[in-house]
Amino acid sequence: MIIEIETKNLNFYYSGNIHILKDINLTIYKNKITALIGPSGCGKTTLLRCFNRMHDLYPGNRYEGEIIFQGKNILDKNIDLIELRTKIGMVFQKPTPFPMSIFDNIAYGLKLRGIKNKKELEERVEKALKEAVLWDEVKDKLHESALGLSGGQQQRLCIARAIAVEPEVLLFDEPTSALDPISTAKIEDLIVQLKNKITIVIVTHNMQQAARISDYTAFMYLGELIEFGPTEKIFTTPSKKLTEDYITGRFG
Amino acid sequence: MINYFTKRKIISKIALLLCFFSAVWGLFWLVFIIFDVLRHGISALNLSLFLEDPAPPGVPGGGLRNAIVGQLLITTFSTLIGVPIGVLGGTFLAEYGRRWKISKFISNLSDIMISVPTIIIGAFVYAILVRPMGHFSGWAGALSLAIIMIPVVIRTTEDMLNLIPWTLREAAFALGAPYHKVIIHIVYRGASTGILTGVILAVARVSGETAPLLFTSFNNPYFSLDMNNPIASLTITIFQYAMGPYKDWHIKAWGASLITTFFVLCLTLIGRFLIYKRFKH
Repeated sequence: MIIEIETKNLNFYYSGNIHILKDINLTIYKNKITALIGPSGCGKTTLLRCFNRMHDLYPGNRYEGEIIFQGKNILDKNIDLIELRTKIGMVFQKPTPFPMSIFDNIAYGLKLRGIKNKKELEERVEKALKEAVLWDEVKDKLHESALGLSGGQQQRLCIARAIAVEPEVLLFDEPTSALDPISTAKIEDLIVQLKNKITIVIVTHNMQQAARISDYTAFMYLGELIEFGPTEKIFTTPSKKLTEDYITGRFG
Repeated sequence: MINYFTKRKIISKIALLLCFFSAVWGLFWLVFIIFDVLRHGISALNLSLFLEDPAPPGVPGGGLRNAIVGQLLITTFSTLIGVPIGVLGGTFLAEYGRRWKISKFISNLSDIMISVPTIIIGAFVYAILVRPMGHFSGWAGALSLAIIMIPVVIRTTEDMLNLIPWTLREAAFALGAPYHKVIIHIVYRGASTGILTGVILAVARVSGETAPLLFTSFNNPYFSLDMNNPIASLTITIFQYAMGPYKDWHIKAWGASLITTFFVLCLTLIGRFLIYKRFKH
């Protein structure tokens, strides 16, 4: 198994000195789905947002330790965040379609990479929409506003937008928590298919979801990584009492 | 003892009536003013009003070509100065500058500036531009209107940009977009309607300003395109003609009022039309 991302003694502090992540040592394997689970406020989303340095957008945040990706520590001062984010994409909790047409939404990331050729853009938009299983629903209205799509469609549009630029890792932050069960099922299927090409890290509140789709599961509690291992093992024979209590619904 | 629900219904009816009559009261004056301007103004409208310059005082005839052109020049240049500074300033406050305490201070200062009496701004420009130059000028007029416009545009831009949810910016950042592209492609796009509305409101507002122009562009009875010299404007013309002793002047003042009102109305309609077109697609 190839290691895609590895965190070494990762600590994270919010605005000033609020210690959120404590000594996280986690391995993300290539072309696998890793689920981050844990009760609210345990730091799973915070950890996810470290991988594409999203925290840098807000003042006062501070990282310590290392996150190794492709042999480099991405917490280094001289890391090019724009390049990093082209390699590590993200899909958010709520759908975030840009206020433009469906086509332009997908083409946006491609244009940022300097792809200007109209034919190439069209091909790659179509490819991304097909991969996100959205093509059949939108192929006749590519130039209509993306805001007119349903919530589930918008979320698949965001996934299509993220995969159009062919990232190596895709981060999902509770991608289905705002969606109905049918849309959720579609997106789960999609995520499982994507892992053939992309390494996936997903934060989820829904333990069944983690059990259904992930290969590895990390259980976090109060900013610490309590247990990490193959999903099957975490959900059947966890080695820590805390993990078992959470998974069986005794707290959280 | 009145039933509790009956009492609630009566209170609701009273509140409704109060709201209704307040609206009617406000609308009555609005319609009254516009109707009056229209009634008096229309009789003043004729081709020579737009094509001829004023006749000597007391002599009937002539028109307001100089004031119309002067007003357009001053308003256009003030917009060209004020809007870019306002939009960029608002962008700074809402985006790049949000980490700094001084942004909040500037923002509050703009709020104060919005309510500063415009005559003070006129006097200020008089002191910094008219006095050193030694004479009134169109540039001074445009500058004073731009100064009035800037805080309005700054604050609307800032507010409109702040309405764009951060998740949307994050989504663009997550695709590897640099900050300036996030602002231009995503944030401005989402906020464009609001910013445009703010700009139009600001232009409409300065179009009706008189006091600052008295100190700056002053007036000019002759046709002039020279922004370096005093230049006529509709609002000053209204002020001068309405106060003047001649019947013909009064009629022309009504005509100027109608033109100004119509101009502001057109601006608003253009704004609305742009908004409509944007949302249609």
